Amino acid sequence: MFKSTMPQNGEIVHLHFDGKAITAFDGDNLAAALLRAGKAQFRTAAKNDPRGPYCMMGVCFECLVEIDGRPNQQACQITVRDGMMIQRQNAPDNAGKTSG
Amino acid sequence: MTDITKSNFDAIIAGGGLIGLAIGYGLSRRGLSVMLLDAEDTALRAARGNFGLVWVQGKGAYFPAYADWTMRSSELWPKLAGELRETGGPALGLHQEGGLSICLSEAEMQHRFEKLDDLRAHQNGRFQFEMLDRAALKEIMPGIGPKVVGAAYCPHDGHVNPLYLMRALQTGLTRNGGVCLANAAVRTIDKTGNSICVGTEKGDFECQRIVLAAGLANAELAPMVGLQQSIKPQKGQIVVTEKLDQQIALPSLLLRQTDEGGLMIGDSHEDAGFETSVRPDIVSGIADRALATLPALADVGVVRSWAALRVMSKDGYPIYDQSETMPGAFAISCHSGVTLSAAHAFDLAGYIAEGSLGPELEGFSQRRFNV
Amino acid sequence: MANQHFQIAIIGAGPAGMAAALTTTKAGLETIVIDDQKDCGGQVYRNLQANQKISPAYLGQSYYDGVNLARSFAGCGAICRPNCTVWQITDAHEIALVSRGKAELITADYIIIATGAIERPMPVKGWTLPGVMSVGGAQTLLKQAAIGAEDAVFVGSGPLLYLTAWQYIKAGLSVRAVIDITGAKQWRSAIPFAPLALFQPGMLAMGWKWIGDIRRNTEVINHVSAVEITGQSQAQGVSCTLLTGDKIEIGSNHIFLHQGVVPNVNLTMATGLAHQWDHQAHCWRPVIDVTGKSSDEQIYIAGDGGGIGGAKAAAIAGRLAASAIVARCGKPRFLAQLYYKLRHLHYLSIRPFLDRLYLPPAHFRLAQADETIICRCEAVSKADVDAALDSGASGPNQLKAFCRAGMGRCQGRSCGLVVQEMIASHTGQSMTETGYYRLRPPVKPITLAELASLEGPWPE
Repeated sequence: MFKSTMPQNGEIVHLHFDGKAITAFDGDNLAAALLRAGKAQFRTAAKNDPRGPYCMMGVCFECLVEIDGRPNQQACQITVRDGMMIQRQNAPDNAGKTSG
Repeated sequence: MTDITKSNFDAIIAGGGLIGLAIGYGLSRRGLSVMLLDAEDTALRAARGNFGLVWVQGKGAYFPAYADWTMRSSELWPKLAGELRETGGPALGLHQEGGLSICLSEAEMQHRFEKLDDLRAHQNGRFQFEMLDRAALKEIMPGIGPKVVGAAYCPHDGHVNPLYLMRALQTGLTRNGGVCLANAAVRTIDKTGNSICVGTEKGDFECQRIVLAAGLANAELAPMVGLQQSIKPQKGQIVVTEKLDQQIALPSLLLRQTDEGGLMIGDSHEDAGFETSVRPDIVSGIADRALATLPALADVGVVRSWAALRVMSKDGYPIYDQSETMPGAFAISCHSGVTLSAAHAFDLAGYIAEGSLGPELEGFSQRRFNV
Repeated sequence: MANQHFQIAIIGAGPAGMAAALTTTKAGLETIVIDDQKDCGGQVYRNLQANQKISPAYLGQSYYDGVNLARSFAGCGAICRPNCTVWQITDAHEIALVSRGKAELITADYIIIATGAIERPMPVKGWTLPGVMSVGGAQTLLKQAAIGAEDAVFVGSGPLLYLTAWQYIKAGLSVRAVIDITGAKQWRSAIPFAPLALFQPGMLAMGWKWIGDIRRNTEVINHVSAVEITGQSQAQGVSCTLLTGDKIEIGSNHIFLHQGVVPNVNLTMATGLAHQWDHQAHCWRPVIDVTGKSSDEQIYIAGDGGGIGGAKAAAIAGRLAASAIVARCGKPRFLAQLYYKLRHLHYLSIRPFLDRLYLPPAHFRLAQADETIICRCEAVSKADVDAALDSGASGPNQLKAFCRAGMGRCQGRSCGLVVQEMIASHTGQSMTETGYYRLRPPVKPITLAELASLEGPWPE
């Protein structure tokens, strides 16, 4: 579990992650806010592989989430906004497609 | 691994692209000993820049033999895919449920209709197509934008993963005892006694038949066997998106969805010499057309773009030739490596094995440019 | 709309980019600085402006060393474009970027690429599980958000690992263990270069202090031959095999991996600049002259992106590249250039020692277990890569075509070096002969709408 290493103050903003309310501080990095709230898995990659933030600098693309309906957003590169609706992102399921 | 120092191969293929691999695979499945000589990993490679269509509609509208050859290959494709499934690699992703040419104006619709109608008349009904108006197209592609007028639908069209096709052909060729040698572009070809001697940086190899399938490098290689290949590069740029949940049912010249879910978007044609850089203006135009067709794709991420060079003859049709001065030498240049893979692996490989191109390929000789 | 034109365009606002801008603006050259983060500082000085107000001591002096540079940069008069994604530099020196959903092209007489370093991939089994992060990622969380994980395990080697573990301890977090993969072989090859490293006594002393404090405050495990991360949907712990064959199991939900940093070559390679394999540092680096000039006369590379040297060396490299450009603009700065050259050499004197000491052993550079994911984006495992090698893939690009490794969003940043070395060990070719993925724009993903939003005019 991630915890604060400094007393944090700042305006509280409210987010939703998979429908559950989460609070963060104004100006927070989204990935950091979700980790602080105890969320480790941000998405599911191909082959049902669970993934979460890895590099925190925008190069690994493991922290992708859906924000307000827009998929593939890099949580580690985004600053929170009050009212953000965040969804865990699942890899497209194309298993139903038959091919030769 | 087969011993590559074996003195004499039944056939050597110059070129590890789709043309060379399909022919090499075809020869090896007939029991011929085959060596495939490939260039460097970073060589100009049309096969790795391929869009992946198995495309019939519109092809050979003014060249009936090409229309027949394309149709023949399309019909042979399920057989090829069936055989290659045995190689055990990833699924080829072959879908032959038809394809669309999406039109953004009435004039485009009319032009498309006339071209396909001609083709249908030449082909005595073997070729089928249907013009879909906006409403009919909407049933197949619900998200079309307001500028879309309609589309031509052709049931013979399809698509496949061209990269897995290459892998499967190479695996099949190797399983049949063939040898693939990388970093061994062909430098010299000479007649020595009853054999042909092929020189590369990795050594010299002897064979009974040589097939030149080296893409644009065929222009330099063909004269070594007494042939000419009037070909030049035509640049095409392609954009690939991240994988999508939504499904795009049928492929078109503009876009297709791969089995993995990503979209390939393309169809630019430029005369830019041997230059393969991606141009922001061209890929921006490609993105523009994709959004005019399907506006809902606006927020889809582009993960990669590339430019590759098509191998184009003067009239755009393939060149199939055999040498008179060096019997056993063949040169093949074409830009429809995916569509024609099946015809190359079965019919063409059969002709090469027998030593002489069949009558239906007569019109494809380079000689047609000498008239 | 005509493209905006500048005399100098600097890509990356880390120490190299900021320092370069100080020199170019002082010489009166119109300078634009483009960065993908919201604040300047790069990764090393990330969130420095905010942190300096509260100055948490646990971040250490090396971090606050950046304060003066950042302050000077803020007042230097360069045009700053934060939150911009540069996705291509064309042959015509157009910089294609996306800002707030809109694409544009910027042109410049000279371009300084200062895009820094990325962490070398560390493909151990289970490294894709949530809870596993790179040490750089863990440090960013500390700097950016003042959060840290309790009972974390640090695995790997290298200055960044020791610094971050030290920062964790100073921040009052309990560190469960540090698993140090540095082997005796590394020590043996590094020791001859220790005298040269003595030119940087401050850095050596700092490293010594970090390691000493770590040893006093947590368990350090050495002599390790293999590491695996356990867990199904979340990291549960580390299973560590010692050279003696003994196994140690450590439970933790937070595992931080690191085995050094390498130049971030994605933009420089995609731009078509010449690169060479660096045998000492075991990575690709752009071919540059002593001033940072690349194989393209108009493009300079400064900082860790041109070869790892650390933040202070990067700032000097930025000054040096900028002075060389200023000189080409008709304002020779012979003394300044000489001074920067000497200082750069001075900073780099510790590298031969560090590069050898912290070169991860081959079995950590390559994956060990078949099911280890190599390409994280496309979930391509070691077994998948091996199968593609068996079906005849002879180079990185053919291998990419055969099994999709390197085809995802990260464009090989997480797998390229691993795949290259797997091919080299399969074919027996050198790393130079094997080569790297051919990288293509966009260097970072942009949306179709952003791409379509680009407006002309277009050069003929």
